[in-house]
Amino acid sequence: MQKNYSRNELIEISYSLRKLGFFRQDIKLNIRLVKKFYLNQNQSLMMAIKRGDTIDGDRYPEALKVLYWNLFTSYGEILKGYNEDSILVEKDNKSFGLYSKILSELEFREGKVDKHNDEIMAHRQYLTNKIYKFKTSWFVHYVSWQQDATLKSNTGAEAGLIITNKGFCAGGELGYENYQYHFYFDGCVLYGSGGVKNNDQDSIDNYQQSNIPAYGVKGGPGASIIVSSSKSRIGIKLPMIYSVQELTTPIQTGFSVDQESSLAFMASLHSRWQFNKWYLQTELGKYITQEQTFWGLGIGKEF
Amino acid sequence: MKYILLLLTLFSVNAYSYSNFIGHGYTSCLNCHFNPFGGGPLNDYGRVVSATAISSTALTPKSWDEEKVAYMSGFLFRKPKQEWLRTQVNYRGFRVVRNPGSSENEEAKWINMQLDGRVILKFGENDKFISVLNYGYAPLPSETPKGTKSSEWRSREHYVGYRFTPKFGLYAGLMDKVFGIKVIEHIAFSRVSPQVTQNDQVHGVTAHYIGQDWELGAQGFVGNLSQDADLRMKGGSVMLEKTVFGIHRIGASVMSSQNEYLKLLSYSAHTRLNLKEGSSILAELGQTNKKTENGSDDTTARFGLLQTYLRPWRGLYFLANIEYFNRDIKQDDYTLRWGPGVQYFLSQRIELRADVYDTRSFATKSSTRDSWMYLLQTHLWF
Repeated sequence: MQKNYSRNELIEISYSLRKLGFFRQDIKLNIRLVKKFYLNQNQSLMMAIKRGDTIDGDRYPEALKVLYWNLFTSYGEILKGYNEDSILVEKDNKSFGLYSKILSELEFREGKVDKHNDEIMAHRQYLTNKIYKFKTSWFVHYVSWQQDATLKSNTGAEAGLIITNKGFCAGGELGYENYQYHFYFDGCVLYGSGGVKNNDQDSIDNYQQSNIPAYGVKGGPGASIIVSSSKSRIGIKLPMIYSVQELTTPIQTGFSVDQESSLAFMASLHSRWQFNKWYLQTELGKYITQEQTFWGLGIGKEF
Repeated sequence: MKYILLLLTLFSVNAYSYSNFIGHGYTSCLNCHFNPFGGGPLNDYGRVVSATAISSTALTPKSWDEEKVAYMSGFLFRKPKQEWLRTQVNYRGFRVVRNPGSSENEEAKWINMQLDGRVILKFGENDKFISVLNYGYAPLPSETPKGTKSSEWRSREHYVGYRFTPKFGLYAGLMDKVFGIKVIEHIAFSRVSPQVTQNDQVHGVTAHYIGQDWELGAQGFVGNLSQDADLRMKGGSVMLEKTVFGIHRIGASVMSSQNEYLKLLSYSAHTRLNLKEGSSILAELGQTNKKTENGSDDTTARFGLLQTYLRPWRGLYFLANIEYFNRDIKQDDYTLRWGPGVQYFLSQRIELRADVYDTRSFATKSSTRDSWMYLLQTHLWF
């Protein structure tokens, strides 16, 4: 910058820099203006604030207050331009806070200063909220799921069987979440039992079993969107389920039971309601290549 | 007639009450409805809340601010010019598909479920005296025998109410029974089992008290006088709710009713939890003791409801509906109904909703495939 610019020209340049969005350059220019034209007032004001003296705003020129205002708003614009939290944000926020305090002490445009402060505080909170944090939790679910099987006779007759299971799935979850999204992987150990009976109208003698033990594992990735300040969320999961459940061969000779694969993949809807660290969650999953569904309802707690 | 009433009960789907709006901080139905226990016509405040907090702004001109939206929430798209008369028109229709995807059993149809005209007269400070008439169309079930003399046009509710103080009011006429959580789904076991579904209104007198943290309803009823005298369920009910932690509600209900053939005693405990920004949880657990004239079908049924709402954006609600029903608690067999749903208030006066119901039976001596049903619903109100 050339030294022979007049004061009015420098003020016009400062205005143009702000309009063009060159806020750092504007800050440098305004500091230069303060030092060049209001050095003593600036120093005495700083000292008075440092000492905690009562400031009489009328003792200071209006033009100096406008320069402080320009510095305050330019730092505000710089802060609003940040998309993520960093050390630079902290540094600029310190300067923003300094000019906010100066303007408050001078009682200059107080309403507008408060409004800018609120905006910057909200933006800083937003930047903090955006940061993904590692989260883990444990949970226990009451679950129910069905499995297909086929009852066959050596005469070629067949009857579809459906095993209706209920039980519990206990496990954990780990993932990353910020204020809006949650990406995670969860898994649990499954234990339950179920019953099966063929349809009375089938051309095969009755086949019935009850309380057949079933155990296995279920797990997979998921993603949720967080929809409230209490961290309620809704999302989808793509879990796999592997369960072992042995149907006994019918006592009548010539009959056998074919079971579907023990491994299945699902797409499920998942929702959660949080009470501080505790939560209630539901899951409704549909097997991808089969007709059956999986239900889960349970509680969990974040570590 | 008995057959029709039974079918009406089974066929009814919606009662049009939104208990989940506790998620917006509304613990009491009285805030938004003329009926202090919810359902039926909205009051002026309720219409404004519906326009400015519940419905999306997708169809709202960008030049409108919330004040303008509130002004337009009235019957004729403006604030009424007088204080004593309110009119409303309400329509609901839906496509119901049972056993979707089944080549043999899929059954789909469109049902015009409700077309109501509502007239409300109100006088005095804070609507001290009200008179409500809700008359309209309700279809007879398709299974109704031909030649049955039963009109599809009838009064859904008509009553007068007087609030002696802001805290205490008395209401008399044809109203819903006071019992449990009034959820939208009237196929809900928690509504069917105690017989408090869409068409179970009764003539009676209802007292309502609302305190700082308490709300109490007591009702005495003589049945629906349009029914044959021997079928009218006469009795009474009491419901008590308490606000806990400032934003949630817990409550309990008990109701006894009987006619010449049947005696019912229902009781339940419930909670409504405010999970903030429109998200909420509703839960109810109860039983109904049924005694029949000859004792042949005496049972105690147990019902449970867990309904969860999430509101990702203004106007849009995702819900999960989980229901439990054991027809006879002496037996181990029970049914669970599970399903997600989406509710979208496109704008004030337009609600679109989709629900899926997956019903699974847990029985000791059988194992059957789930039964499926989905509903696509349109609700318009003016």
